[in-house]
Amino acid sequence: MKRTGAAIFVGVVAGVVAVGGCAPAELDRSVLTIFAASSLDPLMTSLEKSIEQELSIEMQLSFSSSSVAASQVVEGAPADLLITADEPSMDLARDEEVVERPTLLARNRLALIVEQGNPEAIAGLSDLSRPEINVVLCDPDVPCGRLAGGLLQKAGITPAIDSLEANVGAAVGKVALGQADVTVGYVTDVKSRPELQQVAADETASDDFAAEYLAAVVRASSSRADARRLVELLQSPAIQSRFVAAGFLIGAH
Amino acid sequence: MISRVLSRVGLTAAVLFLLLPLLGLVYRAPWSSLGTILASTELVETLRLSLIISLTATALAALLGLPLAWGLVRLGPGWKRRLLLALALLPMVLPPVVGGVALLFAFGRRGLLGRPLESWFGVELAFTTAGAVLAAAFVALPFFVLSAQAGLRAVDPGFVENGRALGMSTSGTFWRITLPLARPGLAAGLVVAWARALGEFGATVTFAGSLPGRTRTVPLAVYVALDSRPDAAVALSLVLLAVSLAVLFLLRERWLGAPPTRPALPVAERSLGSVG
Repeated sequence: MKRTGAAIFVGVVAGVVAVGGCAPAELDRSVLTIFAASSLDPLMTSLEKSIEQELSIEMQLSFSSSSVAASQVVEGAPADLLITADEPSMDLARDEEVVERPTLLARNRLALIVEQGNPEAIAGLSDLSRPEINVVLCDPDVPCGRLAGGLLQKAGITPAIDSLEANVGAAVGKVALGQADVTVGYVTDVKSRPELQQVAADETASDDFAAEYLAAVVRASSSRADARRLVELLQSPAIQSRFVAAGFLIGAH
Repeated sequence: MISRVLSRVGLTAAVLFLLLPLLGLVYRAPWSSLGTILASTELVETLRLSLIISLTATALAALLGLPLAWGLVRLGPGWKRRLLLALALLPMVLPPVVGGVALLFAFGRRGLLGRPLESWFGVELAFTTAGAVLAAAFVALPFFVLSAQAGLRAVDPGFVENGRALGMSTSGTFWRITLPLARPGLAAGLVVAWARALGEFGATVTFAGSLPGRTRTVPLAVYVALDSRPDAAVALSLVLLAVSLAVLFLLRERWLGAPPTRPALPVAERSLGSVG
């Protein structure tokens, strides 16, 4: 009886592995693995199918904070293209000479983000120093944290921080769940989530503290040509208009 | 003969599998600057916070776990005990992140209990050290319960009967006979629960957030530091590694040699396998 159970288990596992392993191979397309900043997740995921068709490739998207993505590429992760949200993160990979020269894809301004309806009546950046509200920011080690820190420092505001999150998705998610009252994320985070709202847009509209999405082909990749085609496609007018629709800014400032 | 060779090969493979990650960590360690890194105020502060949170969580786990373990011992075999045991062990099997999400919807600001706590008493657990303690206690509880239950179960019922015959009350026999005799199991439970609480990551980062000095414990600091300051991450990892090894080693020396009929320690040891 026990043996039958084990045999069934092994059979099921083998079946799942076989089916899973065959699917991509049957399509016989080259697979591009893209390590990207988590703030690109909603847009890139929505573009995935059309890009795959356009370039006849298979895309594998992996989202994390820019510094994690860059470090993973440095450690030899099998990525073909790296997209970070700022230059210091890209420099982690450039300094180790594991990527080619990066290309600017788009920019993303910071946004003061609260829940829809603004229950805590947050009027501007200076409210971040109110001790009674829950303020989460990105950790200073990741782009959104570096940028928000710079912006707040320039404005002379010392925030009463309750948590430093590992990536912008975690920070924005804490507001969406109601655990936190306010965070500094990106304009695109608000656009992609109807339960959130941006306040005091003029205070965060600075181009000096905007994320800059840089794409660089990984030198060790065996599909560098396809990766370069993808970067070109991402700069095409059709895709750039999708960036704009999602709340990104295009062109150098 | 062949089977002996095979088991030798299997044993070697298993040892290598367990040993290689440790060697990798030791190999990457910044030995020359280790002292300076660990002595930095930031890391000392992180270690101190981790110690406070894990010890408080262990106390909380023991406080809740002892009645739970006693209840399990007193319940006869049957669906009630199976259900209670399943509930008690759930945090051990559940991915810690899922535990954190569950805690969020129970004790978070919008949670079942969190909302009334905040609006009636002004008590808020989100992003507080108390929240981190709660998360660590949640995941450490089953480790204490398993060991404590085995320790309590191993107490010879004859001693309790004698106590009763001498006119002791039920609670008297529990506090003065059962509990002292179950001490090895309880002590082992405290140690493994503490080790688990010290290593807690997923539930804490999900439920309590991550702020230096308040909720950023050693595992959270390792995660954050890995990309920007890998040396600090490795140094902190080494501390956790040393503590974990010391705990396991001490458990062996101090408690594994206790009365031979006791099933407590095999359970405790197996539990420790999933610490992390």
